[in-house]
Amino acid sequence: MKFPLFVALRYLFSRRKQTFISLISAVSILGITIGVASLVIALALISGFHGEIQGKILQVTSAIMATAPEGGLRGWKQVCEKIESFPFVKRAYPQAIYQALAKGPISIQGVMLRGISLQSPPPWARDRFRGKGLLMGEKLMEKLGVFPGDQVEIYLPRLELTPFGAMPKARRVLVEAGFSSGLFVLDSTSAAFPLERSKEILGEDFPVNYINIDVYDIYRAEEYSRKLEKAFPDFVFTPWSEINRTLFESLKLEKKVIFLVIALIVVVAALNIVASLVLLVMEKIKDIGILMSMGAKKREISMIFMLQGTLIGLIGTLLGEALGILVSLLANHFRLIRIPPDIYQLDHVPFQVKPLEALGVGLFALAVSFLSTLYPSRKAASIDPSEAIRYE
Amino acid sequence: MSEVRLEGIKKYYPYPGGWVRVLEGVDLEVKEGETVSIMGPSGSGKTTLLHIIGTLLRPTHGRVFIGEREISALSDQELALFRAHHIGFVFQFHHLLPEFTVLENVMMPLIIRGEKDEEVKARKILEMVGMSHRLEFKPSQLSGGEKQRVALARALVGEPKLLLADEPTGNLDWDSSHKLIELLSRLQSRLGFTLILVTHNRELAKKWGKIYLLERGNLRCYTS
Repeated sequence: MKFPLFVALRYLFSRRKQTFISLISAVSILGITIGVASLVIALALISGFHGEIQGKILQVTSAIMATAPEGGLRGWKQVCEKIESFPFVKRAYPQAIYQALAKGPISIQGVMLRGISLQSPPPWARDRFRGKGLLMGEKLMEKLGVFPGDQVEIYLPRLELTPFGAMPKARRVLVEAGFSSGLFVLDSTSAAFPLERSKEILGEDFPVNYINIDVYDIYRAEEYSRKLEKAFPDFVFTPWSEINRTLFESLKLEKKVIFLVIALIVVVAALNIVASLVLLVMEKIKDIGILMSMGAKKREISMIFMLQGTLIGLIGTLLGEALGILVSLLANHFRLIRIPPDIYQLDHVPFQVKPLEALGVGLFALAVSFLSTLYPSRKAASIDPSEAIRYE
Repeated sequence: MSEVRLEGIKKYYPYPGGWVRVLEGVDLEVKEGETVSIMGPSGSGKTTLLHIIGTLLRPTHGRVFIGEREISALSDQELALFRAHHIGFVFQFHHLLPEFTVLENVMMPLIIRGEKDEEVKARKILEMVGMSHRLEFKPSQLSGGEKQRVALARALVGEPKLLLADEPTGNLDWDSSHKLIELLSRLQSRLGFTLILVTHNRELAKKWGKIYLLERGNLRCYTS
């Protein structure tokens, strides 16, 4: 190994008679650097986006939601107690979710009425309920044109008979305060009320139709759901990943597509490695013959060029990793990429460099670089020493 | 004991519509420590013969023995190992590696062999050829005569039993040629290697033992 490495390092770093070869080597290094940096940045972007969205979703929903298709959640207290007896369950608590219409001074909007247990409110509703009104998402309040202390007309999902026929029940309800969860879809569509006081506020009982379950390890929510389904066959348990499956699947697909597209930069850079090594082999034909006359084996000659190509890949990969991580950190710190929150739920693109992904990108670039050395190195090893020495 | 023995060596090269017959059954025997010069017109196959003896080229027919071993029967891998330990080459155009210094060029055969004291041995042989003052020079910074002395040092650093020189003075002026011949003669007396020399230089050939003439693919003894 000492001999091939000694020669490969010298070929790589010495000044060439053929400056064109040095230029192609430099372009190869630059190409690998740009390709690796782009991959690291792109994956950091998707991971950051995915992580942020996931975090926000988990702030407002629980890890697992349980419901009974037959409407059998009357005994929810006992069910919650039983669910909480599982070692992986942190807590189980009830929730009522119903659709309604809200009429404000400037518009009518669909609203998701969320009955929340005062015993276990989500973070955005904690200590916010004061009296006898609704806690409404700030974006929804903007759309309706209401302020804390105003009243809105809520059309409930209950029918009442009127001289004009069956009409949805309407109630004037106080908007007690606004909330901002950071999740646009929640802030722009939801209004919450204490489950225990639904009759006072909305004039109707809204029975519990969901049980929220928090677990210690959210990444095993699917497995836990299956376990709970076995214990409670009449219930349907839906993990958080399933509730937002479309979103997460599309993010995963996006990640794969972005990886494949940007990986092409690395592949093109690897083609430069092939070109520079082929030219180098041609330039060094006589040297190869001389080294063989001194006893260098074909395998060692082949290794010189393999090492050189792989070194080009290694330098490009290390530079690319460093550049990619630096750009990701800066972009995150300075919130360089701003995005419309009504579409993406976030006001900027977060970057999260995952060590395993960065390592994977590095290994991919090194593997491609190594593969690109195979043809030129085999070509070098197949040179006839006698012809090479006489080569003009 | 003979160091080199060739038996019925033939070398043909294919070309469209036939064969170029370069060597037509060459026999040669060179004793240990002996010097043999091979002369002949350009294109007569001298370098081909030298490359066959040096295991760089396989003959179409015939057998090559170096020492006790029949090298024409060895695999490529074995031949490389054999060259590394037993044969040194000096070429007409020094063929020093341009990216490496004088010292590194001379160390190279020992690095290939995987030896550990390559620098000590390289310095020693460079001292013997009078090039110890140019250790860190690149070949491009040397004169023609100096390059050829470094090439000689590189060929001899591994203490080969057989030195093959292909027109070593062919690219030098009279003075440099004379000095190189003196040096080669002195080193042979000191190190005792067998020398096979291809040359156009009759004066150079006359300085040493046997002269062979290669003509129309056949080798005949010209003088002894």
